[in-house]
Order: sequence, then C-alpha cells, then structure tokens
Amino acid sequence: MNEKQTTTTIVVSESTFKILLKELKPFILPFVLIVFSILAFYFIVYPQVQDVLKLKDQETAIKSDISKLSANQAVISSINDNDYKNDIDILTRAMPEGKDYTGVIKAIAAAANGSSVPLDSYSLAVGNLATLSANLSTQSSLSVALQVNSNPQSVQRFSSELLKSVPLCEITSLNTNGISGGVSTAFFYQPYIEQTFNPLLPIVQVNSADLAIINQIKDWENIQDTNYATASSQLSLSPTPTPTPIPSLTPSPESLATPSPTLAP
Amino acid sequence: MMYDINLLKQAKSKQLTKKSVKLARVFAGLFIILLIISFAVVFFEKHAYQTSIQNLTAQKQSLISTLQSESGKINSILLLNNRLFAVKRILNERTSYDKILQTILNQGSDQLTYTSINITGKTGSLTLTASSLAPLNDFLDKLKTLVKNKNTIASIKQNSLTVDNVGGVFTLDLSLTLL
Repeated sequence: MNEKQTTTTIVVSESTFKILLKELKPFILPFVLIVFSILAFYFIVYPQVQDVLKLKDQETAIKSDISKLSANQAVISSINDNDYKNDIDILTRAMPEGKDYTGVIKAIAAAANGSSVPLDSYSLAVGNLATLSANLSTQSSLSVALQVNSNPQSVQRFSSELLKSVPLCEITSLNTNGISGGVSTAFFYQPYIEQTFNPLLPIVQVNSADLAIINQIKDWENIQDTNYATASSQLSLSPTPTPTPIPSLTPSPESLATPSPTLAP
Repeated sequence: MMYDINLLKQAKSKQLTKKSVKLARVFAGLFIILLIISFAVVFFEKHAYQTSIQNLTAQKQSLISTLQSESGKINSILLLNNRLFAVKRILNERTSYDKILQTILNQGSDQLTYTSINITGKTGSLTLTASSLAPLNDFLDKLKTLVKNKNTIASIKQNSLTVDNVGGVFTLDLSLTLL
C-alpha cells in the first residue's frame, strides 16, 4: 500500500514540474536577462565607475598642480634679479654664512663710537657655538666678551647701539659696577645649506613687512658705516680691521675707544 | 463529475499570464538598455578623462621644465628666504637687555648710586647705595609697580639692607626675576 502511494507521488511531481516548466517557459529568458544585467552591472560597470571617479580625482589633482606651477611661474617672471641681489647682500651682511670677524669688529667699533663709550678690551671666542641664549640656542654664533669703561647709563647706550649693528647680535649677559661694565654678546651667523626646490610648493615672495625689516637693517648699516668711518678717521684705523690672535691686549686709557681684539680659542 | 470546469476563468488566467510575460520582457529589455547605456556612458567618460589627463600631464611637465630653467632666480629666492627667516627669528626672539637696563635705571633718582647691576638670562641682581633710606624706598616702590604691571620684572627679592654708620651709607641688595 505504501509503495503504491510513493509511486503515485513521484508521478504527480513530475507532471507538476512539466506543467510548471510549460507555464514558466516564457519567463525564463527575461529572468536570465535581468540577472545577467544585474551581474554585468556589478562586475563590469561598477568597477569602471570607480575607475572614472579615480581619474576625475587625478585630473583635479593635476589641475591644482598646474595652477600652483602657473602661480610660481608668474612670481618668477615678476622678480627683478637686481632687487633680490641687493636684498640678499644686505641680509647676508646681517646674517653671514660664517664667522665674520671683520664685521664683528666693525660693529663693536661703530657701537662704541655711536654711544661715545670707551671700550676697555674685548675677546672673541673662536669655535664656540651658541648655547648662551635660551631663545636662540639653535642659532650658530660667535661669542664676544666686551669690557666697557663707563657708567651704567653708558653701558645701556652701548648695548642699545650694539643691538642695532650688523651682523646681528644678542646680548647674553650684562654687568656694571658703576665705573665699568661687561657685556657678553653673541654675533649670529648661519651657514647656507643647499635647498632642493620643489616646484609645487608656493614661492614665498618678499612682503611689505619683510621689506621693512630689510630697510631697517639697511638703515642700521648706514649708521654703523658712518660711525665706523668717524671712529676710523679719529683713531687712524685701517678701513677693514682684521683680528690678530693676540692672547690679551689692554689698551692705554688714551686709546680706550680703539677695539683690541683678544681671540680666545 | 466535473463541477469546477469554468472555461471563462481559464481564459482569464491565460490573459494574466500573457500580461506577466509581457511585463517580464519589458523589465528585461529595460535592464539590458540601462546596462548598455551605463556601459557606454562610463566608457566615454573614462576615455575623456584619460585624454584630459594626458594633456594636463604634458602641460604640467612643460611648466616644471620652464620653472627649472629659471634656477638662478629660484636659488636667489631660496637664499633670500633662508636669510630672511633667520633674521626675523633673531629680531623677534632676542632679549633686549638694553631696554631692561634702561627700565631699571629709569626707576632710580639722582640720590641713588648703582654699585652693581648683573643681568644674565632671566635673572638679575642689583646693589644700590644711597645716603638716606628715602631714595631706596622710592626705588623699591617703583620696582613693585613694575612687577604689579607685569612690566619687565616678574619678581623682586630683597636680599639685604645694610647701614654703614661711619660713612652714613645705606646699601640695598636685590635679586630680580625678569619676564
């Protein structure tokens, strides 16, 4: 009885399948096409869309680079070579590439003359790197110890003049006992390290604030030159004094304004 | 006995099936058309971007070459900026000891003598003498005002006040912390 029932069921299923197949046959092709379309969209079109988006980003990046390069080219075209040469000369005198002994001695002599302060003696520390200033500890400098033979007001005037001198300097310590005083200074310099130019980085042009600084240094330099010329004519100094490695030299009171360098290795 | 035979109902069912088939075919057609259109659009867009990128890359290379040919001017700018940066840093960050000394000297009167002034880093020491206490007191008051106004001096410490009875000289010894 059971076997007969099972056989009957199989026969029914087959017929149902045939009927279903016959009924659904017209739907098979549209169904296959829809499935194919969905699969093709997912596996072919969608990755292509991603590629297009990437290309769009790439194009935007290149356009941005071109605008930066064009801006840099415009800046380069607008630059006057001679103007920059003069500015570089002024700034290089203010911040020399190495220890500028001549410039330092000239600055000290001019500051002494400008403040009418007689200098007792001074010594230059050769081979010393700046560690004295907390703020500017990373900046290379030449240490100079100065003895000023005058009252605190004169020490102040001398310090003020010294800070307006070229090469640029910083006073690292100051002392006065009412009759004479000592001023320790650091004259800065900066070796030039060759820089690689990245054409995509914007070229920084000198702005009005920078020009004001350059002009200020130029003015200081002019005053310094005048003071130095006066000091030279009064004391029959050679126009470009060079430090001689004398261990220690203390001038006579008559020649107090004459800077006597002492090179301390 | 066949009770459920209804010829009209069967015709209606066949009509529905035909409609469904038609609908399925329309949908399939739409999908295929959409696929083709999107494929074509993407293809053309990709081609257009590729061509554009090629042209832009050539333009970029040309600009880079032009800039590199101006190496003299570029080196000048780099050197100028290098010096300018260092100069600006020094001018902005260096301590103006002359102004500090000027400020301290401005607080004293003619009756006061500066025996010693030492300033190093952010600290300083002062020794002053006077024939009476009044100028020393005035000086201290003025320094206190500077501290109060946060001008140049951060704090003052009075180390000693000595009197020389023979010479009639008052000596004040101070320590300063600078701002």
